[in-house]
Amino acid sequence: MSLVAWRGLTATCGLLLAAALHPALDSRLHPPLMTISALALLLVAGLLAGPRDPGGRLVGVGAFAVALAFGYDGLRGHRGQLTLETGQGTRSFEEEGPEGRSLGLRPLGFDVILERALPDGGAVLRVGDGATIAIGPGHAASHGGFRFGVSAGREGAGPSALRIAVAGPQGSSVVEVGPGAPATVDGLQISLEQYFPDFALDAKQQPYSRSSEPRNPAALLRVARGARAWRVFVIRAMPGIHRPEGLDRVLSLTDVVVTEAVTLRVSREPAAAVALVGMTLMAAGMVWAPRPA
Amino acid sequence: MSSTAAAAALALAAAAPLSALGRAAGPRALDPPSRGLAALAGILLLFAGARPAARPAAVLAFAAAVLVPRGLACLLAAAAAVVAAVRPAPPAIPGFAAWPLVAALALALAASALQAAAEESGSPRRLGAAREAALGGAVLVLSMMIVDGGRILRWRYGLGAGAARIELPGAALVLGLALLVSLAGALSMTVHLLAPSTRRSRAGLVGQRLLVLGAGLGGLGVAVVAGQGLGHNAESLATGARDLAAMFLAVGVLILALIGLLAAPAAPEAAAGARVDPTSERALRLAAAAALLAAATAGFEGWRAEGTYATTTMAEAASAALLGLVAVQPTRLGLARAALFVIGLLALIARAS
Repeated sequence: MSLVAWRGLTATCGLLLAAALHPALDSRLHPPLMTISALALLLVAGLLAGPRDPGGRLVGVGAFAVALAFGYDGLRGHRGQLTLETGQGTRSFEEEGPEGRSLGLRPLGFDVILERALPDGGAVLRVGDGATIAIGPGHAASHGGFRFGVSAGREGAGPSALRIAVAGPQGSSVVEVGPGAPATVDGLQISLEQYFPDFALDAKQQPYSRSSEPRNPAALLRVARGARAWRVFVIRAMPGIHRPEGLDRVLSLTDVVVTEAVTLRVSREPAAAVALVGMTLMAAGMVWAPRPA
Repeated sequence: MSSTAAAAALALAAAAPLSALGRAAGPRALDPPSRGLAALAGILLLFAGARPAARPAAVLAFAAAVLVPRGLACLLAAAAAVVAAVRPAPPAIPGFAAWPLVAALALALAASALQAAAEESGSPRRLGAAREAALGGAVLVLSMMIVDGGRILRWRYGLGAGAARIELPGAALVLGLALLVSLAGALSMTVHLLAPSTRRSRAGLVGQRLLVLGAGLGGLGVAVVAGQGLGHNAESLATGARDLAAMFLAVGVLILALIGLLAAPAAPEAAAGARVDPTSERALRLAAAAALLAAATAGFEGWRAEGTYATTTMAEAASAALLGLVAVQPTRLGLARAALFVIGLLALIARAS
């Protein structure tokens, strides 16, 4: 008991736990979950066993509540993501475990349909019983024990397809080429190599995208016919600008089809309130400490 | 650039050495003007409230004026005001985040406690001041080694990234010289500290002069970076705002330490014994409590806005709160633990600004 109550051990555990929890620190400083749990248990035991004053005990009790809440939510709670296009529905979401590991599909217990995506990045959802819930970048909403929010990691809408006009001696045709979805026309296989939503050249004449908005879309396409292959650059502002030698077709980017999809964060954290109370108790315990003589 | 935030940064930059000089001259002789300048800066920062860094800067300034009139708190507020001055407001901020304000209060309290603990440590005053000066030099060297991906070590410095990047060769030369001179000064001061006698040694004198020169060059370098950045491209300066604020803070820390060193009596004194200043301990406990509340607020705001408390911000805030818990434990290396707590809070607020 005296070793657990030793403040040096408590301070060391706290320091190691702080390093383990900090997301910006090197991944080598992030130990496995078992080690983090052991450190947290030692820290809580030290905070409970060490102090003799009421304030110190309150800190210990608060830390115990926080550890209990985090542990319960880790074991019995669910966290994950859900990507829906307008009109699409689902009854489950992709659950994530510690360190973002995929745990497979977790049933929600009700239907969720994306009614419409909002311009501010939010969405209006229709849930199983016909009710609609609106969520946005600054406000999440609850339904059926789950909480839905807009994923912070959402980086603008990506292209679902580029419309490419292929002009040749027999006339022209339009095909849609998407990331990982090549198209075939007149014996040519066209695939997307690189996409620049807002194309520009830097000081070294290297291409880059100024933003994720499709203001000046351009793409590098790979065009293959049999054993021969070409790389063709297309830009909406200048149709047919690049005509590689040996290719008897002219390719132009006519349009970008942007997917109206929303990625939602889905969480069930039944012990969130306990964690909040625990932290408040810890803060109160810190303030309540006796004045040093 | 926000002129009100820039004026606030200047006022706070003046308040910090005033506070340090006041403490050196007598029992808080220059506290009223220092507090007045900090309060004025806080009011000015309220007018730049749309900029994310201005709000924690205002809290730091008001805390320096009302609660903790210490030079370090004023310096931290000035560094935050520098970021607020050069970094424009984002087009749209979803909701209002209260946790950076609570974290800023924790930072002001922790910085005050750290400075008080350093001043009241058991070493004789002259030796303690020499140790702080050596540490201040090391902080300046480290900050210059880190900013802009360590390019100052190759005599290069620039602002921004990609196509918008601007190179500042003149500033690189001044900053590189500041790094070298401060490194020599810090090493020389360390040699003095390691000497068996506590009397003023030649190494100590050389170290002191080099550190004064290093602080001057560092200050000049920061001014050149700000001036050239504004002259070239304000957008690039906004991208390099954190680097500029970090160098500004490091130069300020060294100047505060040098004020303490120059004001300390030359004759060696007997060690006062390891005393614990009750005010600093109380401030540290309050800072730890505020850091815990900041973590709780970040968790609640994450749950309200994103649907979960398990956010990156909450993890960072919880990490800083744990450092606070570590800092208040009555065991060895108290100063180092308090310094880690301050660094943790500073990193938390810097990432949010």
